[in-house]
Amino acid sequence: MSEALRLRRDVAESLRSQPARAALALLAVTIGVTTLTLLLAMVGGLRAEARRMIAAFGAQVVAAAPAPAAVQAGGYRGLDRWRALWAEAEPDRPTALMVRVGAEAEPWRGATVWAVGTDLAIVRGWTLQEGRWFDALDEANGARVAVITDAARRAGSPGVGSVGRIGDQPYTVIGIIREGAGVPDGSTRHAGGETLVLVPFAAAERQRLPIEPGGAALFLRAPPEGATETFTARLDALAAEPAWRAWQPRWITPDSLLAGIRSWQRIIGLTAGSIAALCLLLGGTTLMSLMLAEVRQRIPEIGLRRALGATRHDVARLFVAESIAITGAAAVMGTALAAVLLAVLDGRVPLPLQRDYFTFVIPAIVSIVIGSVFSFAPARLAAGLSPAAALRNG
Amino acid sequence: MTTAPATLELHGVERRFDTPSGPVTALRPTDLAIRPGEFVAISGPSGSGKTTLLHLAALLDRPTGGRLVFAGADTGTLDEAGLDALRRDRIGMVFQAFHLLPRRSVRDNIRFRFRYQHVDAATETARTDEAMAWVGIAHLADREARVLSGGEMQRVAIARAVAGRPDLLLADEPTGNLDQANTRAVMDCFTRLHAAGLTILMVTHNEALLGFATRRFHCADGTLEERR
Repeated sequence: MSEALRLRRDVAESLRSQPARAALALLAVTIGVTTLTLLLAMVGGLRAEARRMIAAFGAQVVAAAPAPAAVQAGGYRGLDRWRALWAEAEPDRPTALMVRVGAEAEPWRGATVWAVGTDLAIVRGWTLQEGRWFDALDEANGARVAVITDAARRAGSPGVGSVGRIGDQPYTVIGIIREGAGVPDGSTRHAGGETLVLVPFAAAERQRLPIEPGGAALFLRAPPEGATETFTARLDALAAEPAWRAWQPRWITPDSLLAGIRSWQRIIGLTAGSIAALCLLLGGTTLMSLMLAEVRQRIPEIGLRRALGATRHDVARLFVAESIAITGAAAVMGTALAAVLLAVLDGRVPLPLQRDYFTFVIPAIVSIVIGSVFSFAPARLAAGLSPAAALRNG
Repeated sequence: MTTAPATLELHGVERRFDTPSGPVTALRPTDLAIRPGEFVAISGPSGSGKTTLLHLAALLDRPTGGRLVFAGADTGTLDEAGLDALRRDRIGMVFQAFHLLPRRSVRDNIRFRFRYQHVDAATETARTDEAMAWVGIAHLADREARVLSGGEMQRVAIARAVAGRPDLLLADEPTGNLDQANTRAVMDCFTRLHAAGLTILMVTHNEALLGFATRRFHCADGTLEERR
């Protein structure tokens, strides 16, 4: 029989002889593993959500959201003049407006309609999965054409070439934006992509679609080098000049979008992280105290093993193996329990949950490491016993 | 008198223990040589130092003075791994409290002798069966140790000790927990094993058992004296 098999048999027998102790330690570590898995699923989900959000917004993109009163006062013309000011000030940088308009869009129920500049796709780095984007001719003619997001198509449009209705006018779908585009606002609501219907700015203006003052933004592509904060600081200086002052823009950057997510990450990290750490610590100390008690109870057996030629290392290994067996079983049980809980919670809690390989593997590894670390003291105590004293004790 | 080299030699071996109230001498400087095939019995009251001597002979403890030679090897020159190996391969032990694994079968308890020995499975099985036959417990092979009587338990312990074919069998109060009938059965086992050539060192407080041995000693206050 190999040493591994002998050790496995020894461990199995020891655990069977102390079922209550083994079960208690198992329970404590299982709770810790489950909690840690849930924590990682939430933190991982938030991280993935942040990545999605940046992808939807566009990397190296800065948005200037003007004061609603200025939008209300200026209307389409005013917004276009404001955009022209930016284009003059930053001639090498594409700029584009994106303005929400209040209009029903059929057959895209629940979709929001946006009047957009022709450079918007370039600024935001959007790519189309089908069809084409607006061109200068569409803008010049005020063509009644629309580009929709993939989420909008899934919500009810047959696709490129189909005709829908915005307000009282027909619009032909000419393109579909690839999955992920959206108007992120820092919340975690848009994980599946938004249902957007985009029309040329000129077409919306001609049709006099009513502008929603709080839903306008000018998008600029920040320079690739340096932080967007430096860029926005420069833009701030421009915005303070008299011709611009009335617009009082609020800057939206990838970092400002992530502020909400980061705050969630901090809250979860602190609360669930503390609970998970406490559970694992509690599990580890429970395991250690139970094993210390077990060492004391098994002194005669330790004496017998030493009398039969076991080395100190053999004795220590036995207790470490027992501890790892308990934490290993707890890792399996905790992971299974967490998987069930995550399946139940998914979609029922206002948080994205990530269920990838690492979410489950890391807690299992942590559990086994805890088994090794917290068995060190009992194993050392057992190995350090004098065999003669251990046999007298029996 | 035989001239074969001694299995165990004690030259001025002494054992002192440090206690909160000062050092205590459990075994005063002692000379003893046990030759192959001898059955040596040491009697004496509790606390006389006989178990201390047995633990030194079993290499479970180190003397604080003197020299202990086992099978020609000066144990003072061996490190702990060397002592562990000698104990594993050349010494068998029987205890007053049996020290069986209660949930394992008799066969598995005897096989446990080989837990730390590098012996192949076939040899393990053959020696286990042989040891059970020697002590007359083959019919109990599949019983759990916890359901056995005291006498049966001690015979299992003896079988476990001799299954490894030791050079020296050490018995610490082997009948201390047994009634008269079981004491006789256990001593019969020792007699048969001795007759088969096994070297035995037994310590007991029961003077009546000294008659089974070929050499007898008395231990009192840490001092060993041979009785002729």
